[in-house]
Parts: sequence; C-alpha cells; structure tokens
Amino acid sequence: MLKKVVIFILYFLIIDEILLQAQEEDKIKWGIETSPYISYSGINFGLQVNGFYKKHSLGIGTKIAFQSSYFPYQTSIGLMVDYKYFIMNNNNIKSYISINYTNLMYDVTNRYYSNKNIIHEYVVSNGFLIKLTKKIWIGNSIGVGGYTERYFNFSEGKKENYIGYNLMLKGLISYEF
Amino acid sequence: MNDIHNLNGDFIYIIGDGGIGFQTLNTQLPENSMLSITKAIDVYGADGVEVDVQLSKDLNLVLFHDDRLETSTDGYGYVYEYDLAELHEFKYNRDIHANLFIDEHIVSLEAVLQKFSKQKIKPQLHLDLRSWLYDSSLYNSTGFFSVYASKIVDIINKYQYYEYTYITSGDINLLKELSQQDASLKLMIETNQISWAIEQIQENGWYGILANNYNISKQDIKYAHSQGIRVVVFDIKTQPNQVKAVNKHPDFIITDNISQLQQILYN
Repeated sequence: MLKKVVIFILYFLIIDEILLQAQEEDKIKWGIETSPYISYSGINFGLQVNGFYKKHSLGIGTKIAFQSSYFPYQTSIGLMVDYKYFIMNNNNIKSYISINYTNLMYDVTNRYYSNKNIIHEYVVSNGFLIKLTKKIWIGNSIGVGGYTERYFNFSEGKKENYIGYNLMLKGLISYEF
Repeated sequence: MNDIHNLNGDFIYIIGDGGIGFQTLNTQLPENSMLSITKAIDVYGADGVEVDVQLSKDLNLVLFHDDRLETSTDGYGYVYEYDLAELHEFKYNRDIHANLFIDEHIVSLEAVLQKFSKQKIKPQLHLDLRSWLYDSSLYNSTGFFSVYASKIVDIINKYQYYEYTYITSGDINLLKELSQQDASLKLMIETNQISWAIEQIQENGWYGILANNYNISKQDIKYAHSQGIRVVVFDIKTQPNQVKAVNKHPDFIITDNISQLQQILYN
C-alpha cells in the first residue's frame, strides 16, 4: 500500500512538473522581497529586488543590522545578493535552493582609533514559499556556509580576519509584480 | 560626550562584561570564553574586560560565571569539583543557533593573562571573585579565602599585572585577606550600600566601589570621588541606560554593548 502511495505521489509530482514547464513564460518577471534573518552577523533585515526567469531568480538588495551589543549601530549597512533555483514551483507552494552572499560594514571607535570593519557571509540555503494572496508569498529558509570578518585589531594595530562556519535562519515575504 | 568629571583624568574606561557581553541572539559568544574576551579587546577596542573567577579542585583560577557547570556547558556540578585539565574539556553550550559552530571551552585566568601581558596596550582586567563557591567539606570560609587570595596574588605577581588588575568582591573578609596578603592590590567592594562601603574603603585603604547602575546616584559618585574613591557601575546594556550611567560620571562602566558606549562617549 505504502509503495503505491509513494509511486502515486512521485507520478503526481512529475506530471505537475511537466505541466508547469509547459506553462512557464519565456520572459522575466519582477518582485521585491523582505527578509528578517539571523546569522553570524546577528539579527538583520534585508530588502531586495528579484528578477524571475523560469526556474531561476536573482535578487540584489541591501540590509541593516539591528542595534545590539554585537553590531552596535543602526547605521550598520550591507549588500545582499541571492540566487534561487526553484526545485518545486506550483500555484501555492515553491521550494528552492539558494546561494546567498551578504556583507555588513560597521564602525568601531575607541580612544586611539576609528575603523570600519566588514563581515562577508556566504550561505547555501533550502527554503520554501507559500502563497498568501495572488501576489504575496511568505516562507522561510535555513542555510549553512561560512563567514569572513575583516577587522582592525586594536591590540596589534593591523587588519586581521576571523573565518568560520555560519548558519542562517531567514523569514521571507515576497511580492511578485 | 564632554564634561566628564571623575578620578581618571575625566575619562570613563569602557569594560566589556565577560568579554563582549552576556550571550544573547546578538551577542552569540559565551561570556568568559577566550573568543569573547579577545573580541572585546581586539575587535571592539574596549579598555578592559570584567571576568568571573572561581577556584578549581587543583587550585587553579578559572573563568566561569554560573554556580553550576550544567547551566552553560556540557559539564555537571561545580567548578571546584574538577581539575583545570578536566574543566578545559567542558564546552560551552551551543544553544544559540548561530553559535552551533563555535567551539569554546572553559579557560583559566592564566591563559588570559598570558595573552594580555604580551600586548602593547595592556587591557584592564576586572576580576569578580565568586567567593561563595568552594568545597565546604575541605574548607571553612577563612581557610578558603586564604588559599583563594594567595592564588590571586601569585598570578598577578607572576605576570606583573598589578597596574591593570581590579579585584571585586562583595565579601569584606575576602577583601581583607587579599589586602593582608598584598597591600598593593586595587580592591573594590561590590555593594549597594554606598555610605557603608565608603567607610570600609577608607578604613582599609582600598580602591573603590562596584555598584549596580540602578542603585547608585550621581550624588553618591560625586561624594565617593570627593573621598578619593573610584566607582565602577555595571548592568548597563541599552543606550538610555548607558547615557544615564555616563551622566553620573563614574570612573569605569561595565557594559554588554561596548561599541554603543564608545559611540556615546567619542562621537
């Protein structure tokens, strides 16, 4: 019985995929996406413009880090670049794999120096989106990757790097024009 | 921010609480871990760090805040039940998601002093002594204080870190023991009873007061300064509380948000 159910589900997904492929429009669609997320750089909020073409989406935007003890200023700002490949895409749900790069610049000032440090984060994620209204989708993703924090070492008086693993949890609200 | 009036040449020292601050979603490193301490000094340029000091079974000074190990590590029991080598094996919990990849273990005070003593600009080290955490089957409080104090004196002497070390306890008897063993230590009373603390400090020739920011007023600090007594304030994270603390003109602020306080003081 279980085997039959699994075969039926696979059959359904394949047919669905074939139908979708046939329906896909051969033109670029646009959208915007907001994404609160947490990662090595703390709690962040991103805003990006997405271009969709068939199963692909490329987004570029900006982000801010929330004021915290880790990243202190509301003015901490960075860049986001995000590529998504939709492995499932039907009328109500989308599932995707994405490659995500973000950076964040922040200022640090003490008695002796004032410096601008930067964090690069690079993550591969898996996520999904659920249709809320005709144009609005919500979802989340989880990703793993790495970070490089390039900072001025106040003790040594020179630039250095921290490199490590990273985990990103993201919530998404996407609007498609 | 201008017009600071205190006993440090009108300058407030910024001290990181356990490193870059206590662990939260944003401050993802465990307090008292080497990485947190290093980041406070190297990345954020704090003037120093405040760390919590306990004594291990084999009489080494260890940095750990909580009473019991299981509250923030994979160990179980009390610090004084283990030797330093065993404590080094205990990892801080990875309970905050972005901390999953961080591999931080309990460290000794000596490891921190080894690092600090080599630096060109020496960071301040504020030691908060956990005076109640000892094996009562081995010591009474007097016996423990004698051993605890001697270990602290030995290590500060070994690294010649007198100028940069500030020692705090809420226990008068421990401070008296420390003072007896080495009169040159900078000793501070942790208290909310400011008048009483000032009397004790004057009587014993100690250095200053550590007080919660909520429990000490600008007038209290001004009075302490008039008596030649330094004041450290703590429990300060948010920007409004940092501004309130700065406006009281203390000599040191222990904060969980180093860079935000730097921004208030220097921009």
